[in-house]
Amino acid sequence: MANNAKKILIIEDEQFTIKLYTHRLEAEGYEVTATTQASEALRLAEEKKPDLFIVDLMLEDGNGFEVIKDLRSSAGFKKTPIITLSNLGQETDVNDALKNGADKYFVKSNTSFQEVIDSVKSFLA
Amino acid sequence: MSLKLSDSTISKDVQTFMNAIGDGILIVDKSGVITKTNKAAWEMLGYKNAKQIEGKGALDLLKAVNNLGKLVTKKNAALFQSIKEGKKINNVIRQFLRADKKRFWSSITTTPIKNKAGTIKGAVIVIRDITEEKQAEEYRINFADIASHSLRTPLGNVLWANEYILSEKPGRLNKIQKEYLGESYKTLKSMNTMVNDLLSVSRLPDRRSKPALKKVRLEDSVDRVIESYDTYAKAQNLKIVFEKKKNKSHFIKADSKYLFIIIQNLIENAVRYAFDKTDVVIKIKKDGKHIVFSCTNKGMGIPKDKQKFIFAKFFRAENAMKKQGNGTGLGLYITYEMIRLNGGKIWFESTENKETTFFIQFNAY
Repeated sequence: MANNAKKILIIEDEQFTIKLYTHRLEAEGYEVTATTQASEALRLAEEKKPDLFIVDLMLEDGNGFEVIKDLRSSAGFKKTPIITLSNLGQETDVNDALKNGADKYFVKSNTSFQEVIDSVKSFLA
Repeated sequence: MSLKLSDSTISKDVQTFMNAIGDGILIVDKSGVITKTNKAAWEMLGYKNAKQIEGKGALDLLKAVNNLGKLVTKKNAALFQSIKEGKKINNVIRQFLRADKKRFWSSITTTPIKNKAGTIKGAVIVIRDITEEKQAEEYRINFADIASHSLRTPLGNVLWANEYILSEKPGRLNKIQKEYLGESYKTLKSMNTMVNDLLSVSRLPDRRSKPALKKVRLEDSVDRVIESYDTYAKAQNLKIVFEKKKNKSHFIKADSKYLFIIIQNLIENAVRYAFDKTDVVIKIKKDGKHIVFSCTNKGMGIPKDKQKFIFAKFFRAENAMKKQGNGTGLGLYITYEMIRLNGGKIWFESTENKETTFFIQFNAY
């Protein structure tokens, strides 16, 4: 993989989702790191300095709303694109995630795999 | 039977009769002081006998909290409206404070007591403890949320995996593999729609409960739904056109958690049943005290003889089934119920194979 590859950090509690997106995004030439833990998110972000985050809202040890808030409070990630992927589809969930700093919100069951990939590509173009 | 509110002339028989009633009864005089009570009222409020509450101000003792958790002001108290304005207030949902400072859910009815000349002498308050019903409703909604996440997660993953394999990006498929996987993808999509619709139905609140109506800018809710359907529409060679004036706002009274689903269902239907390369047009306009939202598509339309069934549970017209096999017939039923809960109206105009417009009338804020 080229050294100048754009980096993506996936914070998602489902291993299968991680596997699927990692496979597809790596095929597009991105460097992908992933964690299922909210508590690991900020540390990995500081270490890898990703160009984009994919954040699930229900995580093994916490919730994605807080992860988004923490990322936005950190000086290095004020403007890094954050895509939220979640099965929580109530308007309050969407509003809370966007208010906390997410740039895009996808309800998993209403979104195709390709839509998410297209969104990543358009943010990183 | 005549009740004198200022003394203790209620006979033993009447007291026995009142004590036999399961709902709490409090009789207050015109200044709001509790003069008589029954056993259910003491027990509900956490007291041992009448002496502990009779002679006290009802508004001070009960301290009501409304459906949204806010303390009810004296002016808005049902009791105050009955005493000052002579109004009968039916089944208002309130939380009251018990003696041990815990709150309980209740449905309250207050009726003014007038003398022969029509002068208000006080009021009767009937309190029904609905804590168990409220808990059951909360449990049902929580269940829907948990089920929603638990069902959607595996289904979503399998759908994405199927879509990825079908795209042939991970590797070529032979004809049979492609055909079978394509069929399972369609079936999964259909299951996904069904799960979403069933969860929306289970989230519909009890017919007696009231939605949390608040001020909502309709343009914001429409924009949010369009954003999530734009890619879907483009994939079908359609454009969603929202005809709105710059900086113009229409505020409505609505419960935002239902509003999103209402607008989403109508836009999704308009996109799903439209002809290729056409526009789905959305408009909002003011009509007196109301705000009317409309969503128009050019498409198959609804056959005239089926129009009266369109909001019925599980109904799907034949032409819709032919175009889209994976509907459940619940979408418009859910939409209709949610609009009704928001105090709005829904109707449509449709010419088969030409154009259909769905209208929703909301109360302006």
